Amino acid sequence: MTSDISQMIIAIPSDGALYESTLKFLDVCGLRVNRENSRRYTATIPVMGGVSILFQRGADITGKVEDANADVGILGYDRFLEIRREDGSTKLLIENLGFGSCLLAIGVPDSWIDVSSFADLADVSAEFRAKGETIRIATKFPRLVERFLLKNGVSHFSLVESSGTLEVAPEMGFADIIVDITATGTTMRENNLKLIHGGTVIESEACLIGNSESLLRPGIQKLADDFVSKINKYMDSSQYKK
Amino acid sequence: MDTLPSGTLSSFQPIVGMRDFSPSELKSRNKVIDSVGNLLSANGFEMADYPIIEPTELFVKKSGGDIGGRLYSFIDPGGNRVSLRPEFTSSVIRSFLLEGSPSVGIRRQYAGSVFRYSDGEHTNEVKEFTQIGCELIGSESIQSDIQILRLALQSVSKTAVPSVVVRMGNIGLIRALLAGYGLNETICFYVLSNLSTLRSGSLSSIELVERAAELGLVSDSKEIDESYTDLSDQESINDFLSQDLTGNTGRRSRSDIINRLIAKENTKVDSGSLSKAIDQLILFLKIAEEKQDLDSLSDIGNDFGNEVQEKVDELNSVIKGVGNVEPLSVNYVLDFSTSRGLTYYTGLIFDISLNHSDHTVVGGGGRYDGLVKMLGGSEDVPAVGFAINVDSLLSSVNSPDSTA
Repeated sequence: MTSDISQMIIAIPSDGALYESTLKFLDVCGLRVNRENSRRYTATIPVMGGVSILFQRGADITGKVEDANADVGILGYDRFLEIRREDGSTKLLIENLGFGSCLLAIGVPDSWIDVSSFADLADVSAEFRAKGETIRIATKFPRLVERFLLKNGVSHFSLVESSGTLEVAPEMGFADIIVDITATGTTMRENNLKLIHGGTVIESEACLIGNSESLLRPGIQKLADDFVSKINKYMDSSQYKK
Repeated sequence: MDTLPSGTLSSFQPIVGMRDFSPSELKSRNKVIDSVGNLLSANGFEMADYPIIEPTELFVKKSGGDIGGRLYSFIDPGGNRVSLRPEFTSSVIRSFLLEGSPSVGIRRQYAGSVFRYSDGEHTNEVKEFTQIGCELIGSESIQSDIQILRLALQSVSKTAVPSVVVRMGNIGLIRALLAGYGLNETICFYVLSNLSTLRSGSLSSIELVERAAELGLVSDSKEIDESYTDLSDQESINDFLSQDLTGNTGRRSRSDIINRLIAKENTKVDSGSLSKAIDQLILFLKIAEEKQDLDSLSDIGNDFGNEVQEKVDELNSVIKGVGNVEPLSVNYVLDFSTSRGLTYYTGLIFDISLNHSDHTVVGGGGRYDGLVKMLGGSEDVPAVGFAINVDSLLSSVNSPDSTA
């Protein structure tokens, strides 16, 4: 499926912390989103004719853009890296939009007082192996987590892919540790988990992606340029500059 | 079939970083493989072959970050975590261990595809390439080092490359220098992994020590004083357990945790020792880089110790022992910061690049006396080997027919 030639579709998060912050970001960019009904999955940007907003789960946005069901999308950079296809049609338009900062980080039980760094965790992985067991890691980001572990010399692990609440996994017993998104570590701490040194898989912010083929189509190209230009103008403004 | 129906198979492209080889390209490649293979056979290296897919752990174990992060790793239909081989040496050693071969003078050669993933700005790099190389297991003599380096250069010469740069170092020298400061294997591994950043100056010694403290590799005095002290007797351990080890520990027992904590504290290195070792290492790297001539390092032992002097002298002997490899012109460059991304090396280490390229490495090798034990052997077995990248070499010569 491809989007209507005269209509640019922008996919934005319908869930999680990025839902509110994306709407707020577009608002300050002069691109206020008008959603008539919170149960509707589409909306408009009144100042830009020919543009539709499509609300999607953060985990689905890369796929929607890749399949050209949306022309551009705003989502967490972590989600993009997890789902993107190396030789696919989706390209990164703006890597850091300046909001939605978070870490994809390892959380281990507080009670593991011998574990304060990734080097410790590597030792614990070996400890499990010596007992004929495998350290089980619950995550929604198996691709990024596997690369991170192998790069850091840990090869004996099993990933428990879960789309639900990960923080309870060690307490419930279906994983030993987790790797999840955290902004401040508060939710992890409240669930008796702690962050460790060297345990950050990736630092992430919201990013803007686009379908490289869609963006070359007449009509869409001009709308996308206009959309990106408005975002860049805001990001270049003095009060925003980091 | 003359043509493909439009819109069918013609739309398929090779995976980024993979390529087809035409009959003429394959002929050129096979010519080099045969030529190098004959050279190695004449020197007693028997051809063997190994699986393209191996357990991921084989390659990750002690290989260091660079290779581990570039593995094509996946779960096979049987549920095993496996990887396409990124190199041959680990498989050769695994096979050596399984065969229960006598540990003296085993000579193996190999040739085939290896796979190394790369992404980001390197995403267009070749990800599958042909290696040919050999391993000599069971000899610790310097004559073996000389033979391996000489064979590597002769192999490169088979592709009609006129000249090469050999970047040489000795990981054993770095280890000897660090050992003088009482650093354990873990912290040595940490420093070896950061050699190139130390040499380039992109990370200062202070930053490296701070990072080691963050990683829990060296004593962080504040943390130790406040919470981890006084675990030297059973009574204090029991007190510690009752106060701090509360909550669900999952599948780890309380004794697992406390025993490991004690072991960790007992093996931690003092941050001052690490700092001194790194400063001395930086000084050595600077002197070696400035002088370049090994003969002018004949009194380096006065400042850095006898073992360092021995390793420098060894390196000098290797270069002199290799001699001329005509018609190849060889330019040696001393670089003690090279680690080849494979941290199992223990002695001689070398990278071969082409004079007229931007340091594209076309081959390399070195001594790895500890790998056998790392992969499950009961004791260390000395070993040395090299591999060259046939595809990279061939792409550098204009006429494959000029192969010697």
